[in-house]
Amino acid sequence: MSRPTLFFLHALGSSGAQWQEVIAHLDQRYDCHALDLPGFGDNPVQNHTDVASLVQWFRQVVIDSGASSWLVVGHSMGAKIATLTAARADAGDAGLAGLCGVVLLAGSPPAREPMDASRRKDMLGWVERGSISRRDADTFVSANTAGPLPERLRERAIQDVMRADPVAWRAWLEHGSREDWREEAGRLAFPACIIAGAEDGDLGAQAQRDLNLPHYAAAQEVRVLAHAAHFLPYEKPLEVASEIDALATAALGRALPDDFLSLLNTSRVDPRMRARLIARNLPPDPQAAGVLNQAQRQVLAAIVAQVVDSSEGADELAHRIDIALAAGEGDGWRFAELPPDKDAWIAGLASVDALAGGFCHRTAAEQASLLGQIQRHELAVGAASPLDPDQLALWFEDACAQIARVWTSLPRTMAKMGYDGFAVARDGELALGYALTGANEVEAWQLGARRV
Amino acid sequence: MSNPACVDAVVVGSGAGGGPLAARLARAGLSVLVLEAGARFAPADHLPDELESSLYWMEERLSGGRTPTAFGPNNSGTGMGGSTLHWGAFCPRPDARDLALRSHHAVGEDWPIAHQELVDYLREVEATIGVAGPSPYPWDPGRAYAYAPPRRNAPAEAMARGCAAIGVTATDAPAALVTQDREQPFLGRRLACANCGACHQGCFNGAKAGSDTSWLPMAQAHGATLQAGARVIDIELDARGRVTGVVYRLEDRNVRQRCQALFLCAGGIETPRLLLNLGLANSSGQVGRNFMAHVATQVWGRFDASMRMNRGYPSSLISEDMLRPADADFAGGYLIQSLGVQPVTLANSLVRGAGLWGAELVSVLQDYNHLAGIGINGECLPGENNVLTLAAEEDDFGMKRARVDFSFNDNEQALDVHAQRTLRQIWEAAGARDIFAVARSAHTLGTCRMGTDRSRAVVDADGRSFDIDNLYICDNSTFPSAMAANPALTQMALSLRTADRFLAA
Repeated sequence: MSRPTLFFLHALGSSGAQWQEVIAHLDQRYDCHALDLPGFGDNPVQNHTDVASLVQWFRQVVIDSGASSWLVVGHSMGAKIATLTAARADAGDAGLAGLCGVVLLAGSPPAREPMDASRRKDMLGWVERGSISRRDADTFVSANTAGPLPERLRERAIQDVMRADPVAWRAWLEHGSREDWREEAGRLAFPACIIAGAEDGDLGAQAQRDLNLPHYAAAQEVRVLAHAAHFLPYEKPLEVASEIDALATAALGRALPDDFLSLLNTSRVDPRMRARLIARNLPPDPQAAGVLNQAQRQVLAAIVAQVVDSSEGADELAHRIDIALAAGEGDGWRFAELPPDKDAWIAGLASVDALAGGFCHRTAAEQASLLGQIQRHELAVGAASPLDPDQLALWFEDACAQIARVWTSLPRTMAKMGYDGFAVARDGELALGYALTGANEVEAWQLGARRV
Repeated sequence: MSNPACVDAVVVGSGAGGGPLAARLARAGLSVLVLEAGARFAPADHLPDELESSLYWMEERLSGGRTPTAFGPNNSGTGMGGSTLHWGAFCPRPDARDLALRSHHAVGEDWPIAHQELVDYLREVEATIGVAGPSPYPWDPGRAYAYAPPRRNAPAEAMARGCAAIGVTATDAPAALVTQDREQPFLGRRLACANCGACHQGCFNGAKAGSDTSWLPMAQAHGATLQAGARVIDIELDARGRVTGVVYRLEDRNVRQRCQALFLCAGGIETPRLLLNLGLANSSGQVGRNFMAHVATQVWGRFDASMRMNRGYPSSLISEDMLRPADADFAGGYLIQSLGVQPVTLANSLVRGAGLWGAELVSVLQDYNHLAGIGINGECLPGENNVLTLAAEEDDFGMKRARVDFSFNDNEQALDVHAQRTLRQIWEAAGARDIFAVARSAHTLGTCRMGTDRSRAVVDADGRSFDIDNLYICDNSTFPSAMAANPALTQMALSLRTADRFLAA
């Protein structure tokens, strides 16, 4: 895998330069791209003044960078762009499949950003006669920091405010920050970390809980940084870097191989297919209801680890199966000897656990041996087993089939198999299938083409 | 609510049984309403995603017996177009000998229809839907196909090699797809097959022939109404026991539709299930009996070469040499086909058909790009023990669920042994290693069979109920014997014939 990329999206009136102190802690491990948003830093505003065009601009930056696996860190205004770009990735837009995680710092939410009306009026007043004056910039920086910044940083922050394009400044305050994108943002499965400054105002911890957290299924409680207000990258660079690193490290554990991601990003993949594969590569919603209790889920995870010969991802796979059981997603039939799926799974897991005298406490070899006996109808079951040997063997077949089905449908399994059959689609009047079908024939676009 | 207009024909189901029939009746000027339980799809709706289940009949069925047959994905369809949305499009014609099993072997049943009459309809079906295949066809030299065969994939090449080595004739399979762009009457342009390999997930460019890309547009152009999402829950009769109409659920309301004639084309499970639930058309006691599923054994192996079997039309090679093997100790025979199987479907087969799990399963699956298989579609005789009955539990419509008991009996077991031996020989000769078999059965046949004797059959040769003279059945449930040929093409021919007989009556 190539080095993962971090994209940094700054706050209103700032620039990519705001991340220097954060990036100093990260650039050993990541390719760090601190971007200037349109109208800030050295980037001309062009027409990128509303949220949709800012998201489109950022998507193009990601594509042009050639990044494979990447995360986005959004601060304040940049956070709204980050979240809505993640929503486009979730919807299957080409070029965004490599998104692994999102970090929001004092993030502007998909909803209308809460902003005190008089403060908005003052800030709009600063650009009435052109660029922002040093005095107003100084006021702005002071208002957004909990204590005095080191002079060098303070000067950099002030200079950035002063060189903000009044068009971009005004557009964000009057429109961008007030656009309501809650529905489009939806509930995202990307690993996410949401950070607030303890002394921030409108975008403090409560606003983050109310307005950003609900959009991220996998995010834990909002992280609150003490003695900090809104300019978190300036105020707490080490803490911010360490949060980013922690999230990125965890999130990149599920990153897909580079060649798989580049194929996933091409027009050979239907956006709806891309969206499904992206979703399957992300953790299931922790709040999605299942039917199994904790102990049953653990037995299932142990069986999963046996059936796919690896404990990696076994808990998640067990969770996916549990969610499907709760949703009543069957496979269209069942053995006549078994009760309906939900009951059969609960009884099957109880039987396996009873026969093992605690399945999770057995060694892997003992577990494998027991499951083999179950498959061969060899076990004399006691009263503690709800299913008889024949039923248990049938249930184990069902369980193996369901586990194998879910496992095989995961993008990382497809990648390991070198399977690229998802990359066939109708693209306008073109039907993109395979031009070559014979043994040892591989097209240049296919997975593993270079290895052959 | 009630639809006051009485239509000439209500057709329940829109697949290989309902589609051709609806087109034929509508073209003759009849008012036709097609009721389809599933959704309506355009080709562009289909994705190459094996987890997509909207094309499959996913409501629970119970499967018993010694060799329970699997339902759900790849065995029962739903949606406007029925099972032809997901079918493999493998479309051999039935062999004349398979229609006369009882005459030749004193087992199974003869078909009450002459083979030549069926062939005339088969030709018409092939011309209407567009079929690719080899011309001439080795086992029927006079036969020609309108389209050149699709590209062979790696499993087909291997099968050709293996068959040649052991003296078995094999060639490109007849496939219901177009290999050149085609202007389909009443529909528009169908693009040439792109060799994407996702036939079972629905064809995204309309290259594959289905009821949805041929018969249903024709039916609609001739005035038929196609109603998706309509689930028939009742059949109404008059005092004399003739059908007066149906009641179907549409979203959250019940709709009553009067009709002059009713055609049940809901497939080998749902048609008998509906009749048993309503207690209709069963004076013979044969509704649900004689369930047959083809012996569909597969043999797999690993190849040194990269096979990437998901590419190309999946079943691109066929052999009919085993329709009557010289050394057979069973009645009937089987077709051999090469297999390209997508990963999730393969995983399911490995688990259920070969008992694999753990390191063994993972090792085979991770070698996906080097795997290839061949399989059969083999005769199944009706058996006393193979029967569809109603389970105690009910579905969301208050209808009892189907329970299907199915066991390979002596003939199926003997055929299976013979087939495994042949397939292994071919695969060894093709250079496969680590060869293993996967047990399977496929298709749902015979549960309302046709015949000449009203005490032994549910419908006559025209598909007309012996008990209710304006009730017809037109789907796989009427097959008197399984035949080795995959059923959809024959079903479409039967459908046209039923329509013609109805119109002539």
